[in-house]
Amino acid sequence: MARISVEGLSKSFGAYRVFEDLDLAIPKGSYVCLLGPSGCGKSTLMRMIAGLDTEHGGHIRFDGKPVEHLTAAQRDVGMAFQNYALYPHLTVEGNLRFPMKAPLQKGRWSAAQMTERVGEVADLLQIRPLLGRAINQLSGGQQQRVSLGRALVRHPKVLLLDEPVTHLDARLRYAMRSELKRIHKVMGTTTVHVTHDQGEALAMADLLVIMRGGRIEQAAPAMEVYSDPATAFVAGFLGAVPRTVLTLPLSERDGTAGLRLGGQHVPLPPALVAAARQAGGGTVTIALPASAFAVDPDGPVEGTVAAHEMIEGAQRLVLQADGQRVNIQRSETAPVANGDRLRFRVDASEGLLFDAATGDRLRPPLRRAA
Amino acid sequence: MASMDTSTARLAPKAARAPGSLGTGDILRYALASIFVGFCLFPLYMVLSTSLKAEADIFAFPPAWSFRPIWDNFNDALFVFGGTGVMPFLLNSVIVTAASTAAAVGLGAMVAYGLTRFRIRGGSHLFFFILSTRFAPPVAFVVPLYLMVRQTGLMDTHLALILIYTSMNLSLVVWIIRGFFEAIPVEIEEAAEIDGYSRLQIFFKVALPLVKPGLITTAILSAIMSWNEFLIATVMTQNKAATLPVYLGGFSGSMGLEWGPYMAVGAIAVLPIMIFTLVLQKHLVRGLTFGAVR
Repeated sequence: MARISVEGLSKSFGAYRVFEDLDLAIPKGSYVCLLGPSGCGKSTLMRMIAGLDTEHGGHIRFDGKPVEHLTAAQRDVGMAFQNYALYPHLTVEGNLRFPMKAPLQKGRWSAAQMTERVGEVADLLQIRPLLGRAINQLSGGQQQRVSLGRALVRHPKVLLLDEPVTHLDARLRYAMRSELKRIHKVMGTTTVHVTHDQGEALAMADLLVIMRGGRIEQAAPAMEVYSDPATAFVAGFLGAVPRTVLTLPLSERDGTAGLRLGGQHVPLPPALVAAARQAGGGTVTIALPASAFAVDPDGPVEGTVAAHEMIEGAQRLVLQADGQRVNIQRSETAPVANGDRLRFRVDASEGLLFDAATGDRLRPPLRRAA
Repeated sequence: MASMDTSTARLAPKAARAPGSLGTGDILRYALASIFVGFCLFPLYMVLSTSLKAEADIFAFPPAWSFRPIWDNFNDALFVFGGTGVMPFLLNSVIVTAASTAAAVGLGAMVAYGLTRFRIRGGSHLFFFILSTRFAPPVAFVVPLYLMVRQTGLMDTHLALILIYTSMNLSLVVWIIRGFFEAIPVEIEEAAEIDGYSRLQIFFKVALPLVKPGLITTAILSAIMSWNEFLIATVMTQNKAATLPVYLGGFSGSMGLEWGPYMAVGAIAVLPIMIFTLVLQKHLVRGLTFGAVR
């Protein structure tokens, strides 16, 4: 078990900068998910923590001690790979013993202890009947368990999981999620889990780290990331029907401040107006939940249907208005076609405001104090 | 298990015909294949049958298909000729072949691994350069090699042939094994790195076992080449280190041509390498890395 701190990490591949001055603190024993679209740098960050990629600037510390100069072998981490990467020339048991037989572990494990430990891990992962099997006789789910077992077997300080359940079918993936949580509870090892599946990340993470373009957008408990996003990207990223993120000019009508959408005035609640004014006004970015919009023939704003689909009995529409995309969900399922024009209402009271330039959250000053 | 499954799957479509019966296409295919196999094996048959014939049977025309086999030729070949017979040459061949094959496969595997796993400036040029050593016919190198061997005092030694054969086989080994190393997913080796193994340990404990089919393939090819090489052996050795092909070549000149013992030596020359190949072939397990990584 170790506390991991990443300080001022920078990395580039040739002229392409992956990270610049990245900071992240991972508490001892926590289960952390790194979530983000592909290419956001989450896997690269994990490889650096593992010691597989050591050419970088900045520091990585385990329990305060710098590890940048240590090889992967010396860092004492366990890692489960996305494609499992089991040793095909060894049996399941051979794979589980391999980390304990490493020269660096010399003298730490007696033959009897190794056998006992293999048994423990096999029981934990329910793979005892498979111990004698060859790797190519295993199903995907079984291989996944073995790769997890190999990562766990010598009690590493840190457990790294790179998209560990991505290749499994939906049912097995769901089962493995709770399995991973159970194992984490038993072992208590600090775990870093890389995934691009937000459902998986929200369900599993103690600490959810959202990454984009080599930056950490937000690192917080999962529920907080969901309900209180720190940036416009995070606000529009999470959820089956993600929030609608619009960048709109501030406007004023009849003494009330609001935003202009489709030539119409959308009033803002006073707290948000204060936040927007504090940031200088002009243009702001607002994130609105799907419930903020309702299709209404008498509604003030008109949009064009750009996409439509059914999600669990509800109809999800993407409307184009003012060159921006609005996500709407409605329970009645009137037939629509792309290109249809629909009118809708907007209720901005549940909105979250962000700086239009930086994407950072604009918080109402008074509400924070109260 | 797995192999059984695939073989039944392959046979399945044929079950549509009555079992045991062949179509016209099959008959034609088998006939052509038989002719080709016969063509290839006939010289070997002649060597083996002649080595077992008495002098009268050897020169009988038309050739005697049935004859009383005798072992006199082998006796002559093994114990009589040159006072020592074939044994010292057989031993030389075994020493040179074993050493040069082991060296070529061992070094070649290391070179191939290094060039596939590390980014080396000009690595692909290096690969091409290694292959280019095979572009010229070996006879072009004979004179320079002769001078080098003479200057270093290695004339008529095992070491001279071992060094030359190793360098001749190396390019083949590097090129074939490179393909095998490239097929190993890099994550398997990264996993071993994380598990606590150094690069050299990973090479021996993970990478080499996974390219075993490649090692065996190249060992067979290298051994056959070294075993049968005549030109360089005949120039670099006279007696002490002469190999079987040199001994066979000297046969015709020295004592007229005694076909019986000549063919007996030929049979002795063929058998060891044949057995070596057949034994190793069994270990050519294909698809060892299948299913390791999805």
